[in-house]
Amino acid sequence: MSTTVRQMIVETAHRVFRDACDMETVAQAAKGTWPKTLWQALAGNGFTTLDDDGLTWEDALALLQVAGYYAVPVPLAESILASRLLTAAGLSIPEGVLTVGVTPASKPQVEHTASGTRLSGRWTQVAWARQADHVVFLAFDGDQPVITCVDQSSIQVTSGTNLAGEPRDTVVLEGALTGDVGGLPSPWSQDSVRSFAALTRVMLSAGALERILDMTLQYAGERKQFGRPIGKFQAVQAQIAEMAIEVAAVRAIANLALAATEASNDTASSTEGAALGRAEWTIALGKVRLAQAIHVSTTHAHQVHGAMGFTEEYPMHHLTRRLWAWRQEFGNDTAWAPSVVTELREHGVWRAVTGV
Amino acid sequence: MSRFTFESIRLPDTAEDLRQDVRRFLADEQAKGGFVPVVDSWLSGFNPDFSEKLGRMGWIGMVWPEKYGGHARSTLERYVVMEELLAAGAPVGAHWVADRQMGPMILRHGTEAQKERFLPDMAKGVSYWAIGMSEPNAGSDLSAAQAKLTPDGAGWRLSGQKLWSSGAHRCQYMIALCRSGPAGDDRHGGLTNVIIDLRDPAVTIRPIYLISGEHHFNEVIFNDVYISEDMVIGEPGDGWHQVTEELAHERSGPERFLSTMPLFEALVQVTQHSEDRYLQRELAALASELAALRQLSLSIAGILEQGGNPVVEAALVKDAGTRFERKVTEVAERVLQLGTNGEGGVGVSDEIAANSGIAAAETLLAQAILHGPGFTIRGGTNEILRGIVARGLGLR
Repeated sequence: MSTTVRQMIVETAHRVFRDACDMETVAQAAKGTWPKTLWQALAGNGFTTLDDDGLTWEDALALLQVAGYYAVPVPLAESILASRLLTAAGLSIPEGVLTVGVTPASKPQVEHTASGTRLSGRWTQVAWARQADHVVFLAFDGDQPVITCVDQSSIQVTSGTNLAGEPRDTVVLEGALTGDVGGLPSPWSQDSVRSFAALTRVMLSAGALERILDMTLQYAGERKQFGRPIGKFQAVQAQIAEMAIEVAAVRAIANLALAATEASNDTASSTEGAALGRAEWTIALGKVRLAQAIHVSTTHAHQVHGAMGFTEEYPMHHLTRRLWAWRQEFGNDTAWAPSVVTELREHGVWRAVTGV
Repeated sequence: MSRFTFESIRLPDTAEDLRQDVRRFLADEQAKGGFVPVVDSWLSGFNPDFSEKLGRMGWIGMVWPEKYGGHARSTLERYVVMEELLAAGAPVGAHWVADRQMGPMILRHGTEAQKERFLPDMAKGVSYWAIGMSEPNAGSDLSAAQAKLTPDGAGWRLSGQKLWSSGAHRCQYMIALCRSGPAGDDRHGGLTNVIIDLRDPAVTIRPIYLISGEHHFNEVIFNDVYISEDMVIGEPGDGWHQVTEELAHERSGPERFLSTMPLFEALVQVTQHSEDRYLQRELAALASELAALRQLSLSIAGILEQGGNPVVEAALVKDAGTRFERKVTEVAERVLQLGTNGEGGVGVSDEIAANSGIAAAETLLAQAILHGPGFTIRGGTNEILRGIVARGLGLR
């Protein structure tokens, strides 16, 4: 809640990530090594789950910007989101590595049987499902969206990866035994969950964009051509300036979404629906704005780096590939556009943007 | 990580209440035919009656001290009034420069006598001012200014020329950046700002017509104009510092991304029922860009409120903002079909053409297209602005 506390968390996070998540760790993870030390460092600092006395959802979102900056190769966003969903549904948070299945194919159902609650369905894009101790699923009890947590031993995983090579698995359950089931609290809907998931991608991307700007600046200052650093050429300066503008714009939208999310949690229940709607709208704006920023920034970053930038040896690809993947995950700009436009049509552009 | 200062700003309740007052005022004015929204209203909407009404509402010179006719409001309250006026396409051109730049410059660097003499009329919305920065051989490179001040007794004589002075033919005064001495090694010395009474017979104002046929720009020629001592702003030779500070105000305001706002609103209105996903993507992209720009511009208002001088941040917002204004025009141009006057045509689906607002949308589009080249040039070209951002990034 307090800006100072959040600032402290962000500063600590930079220190933890700098030590435990260097580019070598990221490169090894990309080859399939689970970065156990990194996960332990994050968990040990209380970064992986929300906590009544510690990390709030908004703190966690701010933390994800730092995680994005270091191209974190573990399901940190998913673990935080899982813990957000569990808490909201009144369920307890289990120990170990958590991930979420919030992209269900069709409408997965829970069934209450004599032998316990059983869950059937198929979820795609489950990050690091193969590595998780527990997976938190979005499912349905009849028409009611519910949250439930399943132990690793009960799930079947088909491995897949995104553009960045990050594990994005498919999970199929057929009458798997599950623990407690909790309903989504009012006024949350399935769309709210999709929004929150998208918000994690906005935050991660905001951090990754900062990093590629930093790397590009550094490279432009060191790499010499025609007798001087390429950063001295006006054409290169213009490209990097444009990147800086995109980074600033994304950060502005990320902050807006963060503030709106915070407001939706603070508001009294009578107006909660409106505040939540506002938060979801700003997240949609964020996902849409991100698409342009990623397009411009990754294009310019690779252009400034020349051929070096797209070799496996040079670590920038861990960030640019993640950006290309995150841009698509939980809905790309075309997918989110109707949510944005509905509001514009209903209230007019200016009233929608000012929120009053 | 963060290279620039862009703190998040939450507008105080007083500012949001004020916003509702401004909206009511604008709705009333529009309903009784007081104005028709136009694109680029801070340049082309020259309406002395409207300016005077705003003056009576206390919405000009808002942050200035009350003893100079101001209203001692906060920068953020002023910001809200500015953005509401611009978003509505209201005709604010007459007093805009006085309120945004020339008043603040006199307030910061002028003498007590200058403040007492000039600020109250500005705040009433009856005193109009022109900018005198550019010259034929000094576009965005202000250090190349040549308009020459020669000492004459206690005052000066001014000879030379200013170019691109918007509205000078309708303004009473200009503040001009002039050369009073050698530039020095850093090229920033020897420049002095002086107030010129444009009604002086030794001043010749010649129109420069825009490609739209409109007359906003002027060539202003100084034929040995006498500048009394009390019309000099600050100390002779301090001009560079004064204008660069002023440019942060000129560049960061909401007018740098809201010029085409009436067109954007109209475009959303006339495409109200379109199912086209790509059109929706374009509109959503514009809205998301607008929201980001507004946050950035607001945080600059916050920096200014705290007395900071956000030169680099302002350059960044102006570059992105003016490119956004162009994008609105481009999207509208791809969606609408000019010249059909609501009759439809190639590229306009029936459901869009049938919309009653299409004629107004087309008018706004025509204004936006013809004004478009100016967006990315006035107040410093985007190339210059990117140079400033690059310097802020340590690249030069």
